[in-house]
Amino acid sequence: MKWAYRLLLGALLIAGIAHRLGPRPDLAQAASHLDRTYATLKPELVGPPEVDHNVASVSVARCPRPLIVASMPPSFTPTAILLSNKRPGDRTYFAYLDWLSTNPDRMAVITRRIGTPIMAMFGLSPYSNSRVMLFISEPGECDVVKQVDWSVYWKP
Amino acid sequence: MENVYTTNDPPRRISLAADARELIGGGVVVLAVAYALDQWLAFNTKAPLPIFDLFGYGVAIWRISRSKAPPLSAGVAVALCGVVALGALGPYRSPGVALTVLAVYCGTRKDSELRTAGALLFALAVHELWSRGIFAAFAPEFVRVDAGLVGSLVKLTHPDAVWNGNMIATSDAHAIVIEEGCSSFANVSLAVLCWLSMTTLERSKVKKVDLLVVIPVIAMQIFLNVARIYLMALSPPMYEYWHNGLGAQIYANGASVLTIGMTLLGLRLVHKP
Repeated sequence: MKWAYRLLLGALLIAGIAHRLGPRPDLAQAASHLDRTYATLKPELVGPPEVDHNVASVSVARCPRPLIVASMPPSFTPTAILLSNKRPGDRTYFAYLDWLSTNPDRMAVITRRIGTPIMAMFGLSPYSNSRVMLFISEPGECDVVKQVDWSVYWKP
Repeated sequence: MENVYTTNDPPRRISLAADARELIGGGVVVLAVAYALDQWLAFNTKAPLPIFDLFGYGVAIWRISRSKAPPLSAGVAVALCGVVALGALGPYRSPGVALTVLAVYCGTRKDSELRTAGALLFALAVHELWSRGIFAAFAPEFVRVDAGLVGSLVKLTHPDAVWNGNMIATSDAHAIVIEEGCSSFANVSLAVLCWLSMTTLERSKVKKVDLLVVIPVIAMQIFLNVARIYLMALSPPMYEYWHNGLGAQIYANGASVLTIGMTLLGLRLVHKP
C-alpha cells in the first residue's frame, strides 16, 4: 500500500499547485466590486466615482458633497488620519463584510477577520476576500450610506 | 530448497498501514509548496520566495526523516491525508491550519525527532497563520509602540516634527502614517522561526540556554525596522528609497543576513565548550 499513499500525496501536490496557479482575485476585480456596491445608488449617482489610489469620491444627487470611501486594512490603525480629514457634521461609518457601524468596534471586525477565512475553507462563507475594510464618510445633510448593501463589495 | 505452502498458512492480507516518516514528510512537502506559491503569487505580484519559511520546512522534513516512528494505522494515515488535502486545496492561509494539526500530531509522539519537527511545524504555523490573528487583534497597540519609538527618535533630531498617534510629520509637505504592515512585531515570528530552524538543525533538543540567543535577534529586528521607518519619516526621497526603492531591498536582505549571523554567533557562544 506504500504506493497508494505515494500516489495520493503526489496527486495532492499536483492538485495543490494547480489550485494555487489558478485564477486569483486582482485589483481590477476589486474595483469592479466597488462599482457593484455603488450600483445600489445608481439612480442617484452624479457621474462615475473618482478613484485615487485607495480613496474613492462618489457624488450622489441628494448630497451636497461627495461620499468618501477609503479602503484600509481591517484593524482601525489608519482611523485617526481618516477622521482628521472629515469635515464638521460629516458622519463616518466602518463597513466590513456584513457589518456596518459608526463605531470602530474592534471585536466585531476581529471575529469576522478570523472566522471568515476559516468558514471559507469549508465553503461556508459568502465572501471571497476579507483583507480590506471600508471607511465611509458622508455629509451630515444626506443619509445614503445605510441604504447601500456594502457586503456586496466582498462577495465573489 | 523449494517453499512448501500448506492449507494452514494464514491468508496474505493487504496492510493499510503507512510509513509515518514518508506520509508526514510528504504531507509537509505538499504544504510547503502550497504556502510558497501563495506567498510568491500574492496580490498578483511576483514576491520573493519565503526563504526562512522554506528553510524551516526543510529542517522539519529532515528531522521527520530521521525519526523512528512506528507505522501509522490506516485511520490515522487517511486522516492526515485529509488534513494535507485541506491545506493544499483550501483557500489562502489553509496550509497554516493543516500545519497546526500536523504539528500537534508530531509534537505528541514519543520519538524525539518527531517532537522536534512538531515544534518547528508549530513555529511555522504560528508565523504563517496564528500570529496574523494575534496581530490583527492588537494591531493598534503594536503600531502605537512603533510610532512611539519612531516619534521619539524623530523628535530628538527634528524638534519641529509633529507626532500624533501613528502619524509623524517632519514638515508641512511630508508626513507618514505607520500602518499595520509596517509594524516591527510582524517580523518577530519570523525571527523566532529562523532561530528555531537553525537551533534544531544543530541538535534535536532545544535547551533553555538557547533562549538567550532569540532575545537579541528579536531586539535587532525591532531596531532595524524602527530605524527604517525613522529614515522614511525624514523626507519624500528617503521615503521612496526605503519604502519602494533599493533601500527596501537593502533592509530586507540586511535583516535576513543579520538574523542568520546573530543566531549562528549566539548558538556558538552559548554552547562554547
